[in-house]
Amino acid sequence: MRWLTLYTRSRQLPIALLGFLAGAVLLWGLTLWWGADQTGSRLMSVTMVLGVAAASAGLCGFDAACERTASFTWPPRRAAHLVALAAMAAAGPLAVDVLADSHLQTEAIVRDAAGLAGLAGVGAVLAGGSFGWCFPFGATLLANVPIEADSDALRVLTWLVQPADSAAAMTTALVFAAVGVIGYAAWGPRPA
Amino acid sequence: MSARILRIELRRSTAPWICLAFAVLTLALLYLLPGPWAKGTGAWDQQWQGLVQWQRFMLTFTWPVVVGLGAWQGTRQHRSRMDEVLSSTPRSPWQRSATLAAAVAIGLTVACTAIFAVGAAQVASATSYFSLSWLAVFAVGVLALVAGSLLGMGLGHLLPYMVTPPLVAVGGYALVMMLLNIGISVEAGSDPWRMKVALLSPALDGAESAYRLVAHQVSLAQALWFLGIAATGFVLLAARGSWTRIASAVPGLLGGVLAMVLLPGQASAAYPHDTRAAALVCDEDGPRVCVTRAHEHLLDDFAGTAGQALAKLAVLPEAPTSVEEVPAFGNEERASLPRTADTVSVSSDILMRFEQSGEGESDGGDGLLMALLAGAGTPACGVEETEIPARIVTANWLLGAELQPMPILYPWISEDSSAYQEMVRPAWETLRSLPREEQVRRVAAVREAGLTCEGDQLDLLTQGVNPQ
Repeated sequence: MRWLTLYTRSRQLPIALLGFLAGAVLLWGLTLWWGADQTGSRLMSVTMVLGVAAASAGLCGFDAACERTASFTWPPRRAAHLVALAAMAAAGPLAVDVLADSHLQTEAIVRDAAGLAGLAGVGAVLAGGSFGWCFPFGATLLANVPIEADSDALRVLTWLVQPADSAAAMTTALVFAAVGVIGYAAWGPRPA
Repeated sequence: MSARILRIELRRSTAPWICLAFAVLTLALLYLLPGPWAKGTGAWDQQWQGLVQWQRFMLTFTWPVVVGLGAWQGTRQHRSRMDEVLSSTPRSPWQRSATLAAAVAIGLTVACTAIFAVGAAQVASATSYFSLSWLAVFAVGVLALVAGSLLGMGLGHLLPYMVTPPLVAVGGYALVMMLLNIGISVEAGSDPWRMKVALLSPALDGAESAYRLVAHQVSLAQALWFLGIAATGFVLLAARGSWTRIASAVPGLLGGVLAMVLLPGQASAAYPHDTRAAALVCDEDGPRVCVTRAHEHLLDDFAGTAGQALAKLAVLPEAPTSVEEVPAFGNEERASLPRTADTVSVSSDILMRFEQSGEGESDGGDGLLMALLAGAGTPACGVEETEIPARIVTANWLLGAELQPMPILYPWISEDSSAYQEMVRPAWETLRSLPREEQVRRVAAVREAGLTCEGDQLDLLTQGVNPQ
């Protein structure tokens, strides 16, 4: 228990939680204000990445080199961290869906949460804590560019905002999730 | 001394990286994605106004990145534990911040100009129409970027944590997306505050046609707003005392209030019609053929095709004698296109579509000729599904060749499609089996229906009358 408290604090999870909460409240408020028709998966992706980006800054501790010397196995803990992030990312929009009767699809919410958390893991491995957030953020930017995704390549690019039955988007998200969790668990964050 | 420091900041701060990221991201989006910026008469590589306005539109995606990277720059001094060392130097933090701000501003201006230059190289060869109406829009874009990076640096300096850059970037992006959504929901006659709030965004609507401007009033109000934001960011970056930090909100708020007062409340006032670009330029040798000034460079080629179309249409009674381009202000004005009996109207969108796809394809000119002949020289009414088969049949009949689809105008009606097999071909065969005078009478009746937008054009072709 003590370990968990210390870990949560060193990974700035309270801030990440605040980010997820703020995103969910924003999504909820806008759904009530604009109506469910105006607030689709695009808006959902933007509010979701608020928490994911905040959490990716915390995927690195304050001293990676020191942590590596600890005498317990990091990989399962790191993997659990990312899975928890995905769960937190999905929880907000799912709650909004129940509260405000939005038109969001459950599969799409879970897919986006898993993919974004995976990308945050990829970012932490490749770019560290300072710039790891660019990966999920970049994916959100690209997904919201107003293009008609009429080919599979474009559907992969805009996987975040595709409808739930898009196989290309689902595959992309699963690949990101798997690569992120495995990569982050195996290699850990890039030392600052 | 300060020039030397500026040179160092230009090399060693994030300024070059911010600019590189901004320029690469913008150009990658413009070139690699098939977005609305490459379509229509106002495409970013077709008109000067379109180039600058689409460059502003791209700030939707690039402005938050610049703000986020600025925030990272702002946190750097604290992260590298320089605070104490720097506070012991005699040079004031205002001077130091000014040098850094200048470095970032110079870099962003260079990046904006570079993107503009890439577009300008294409626009210069694509159009002969030039006016300086875009200059203010461009300048405000640079100002918005500098203000954004300063705000980011200020926030990063105020909250020097690792989590600040992502939160600032995503927060800025969420804000811009909200303003974009508010802007989309604006209709004619909706609350003025909606349009005003939407125009606080660093991004502008993309140029959907070559015949819209951005009002100077908008540029002025936005300039004041972003000057306020820039001042707020700069004070946040340089300030040490907490009162100065609280006071830093004043210029931003002031700019916001001034902007809300000055900004126009209606979309039509913010993006007025460009009557100069829409003015007609005519070729009076032979039949009268007119294009808008924005497309003056197309006139020579177009006059030839238009002359052929008029010659083909001459078989009909009361045939038209001139061709005019109608500037497409937007979809909503389609129903109110002028429909006069002596003029063939062709919308700018259609002209542009053939201009863009005509090169490289053998039937570019022929396609445009058929587009002029479609509906026996009348603009589409755009109401019924049966209208398009009738337009294809009449275009082919007037052209006088074998039946062929019109792929550029109606790409969904190919030779294998059911609409082609079930409507176009039977109508064509019915029409061709009739005596010549009856054929002429029916095509003339379609022309009549196209000019009034009344009656079913396909029934007129196949049965000669409209069943009541």
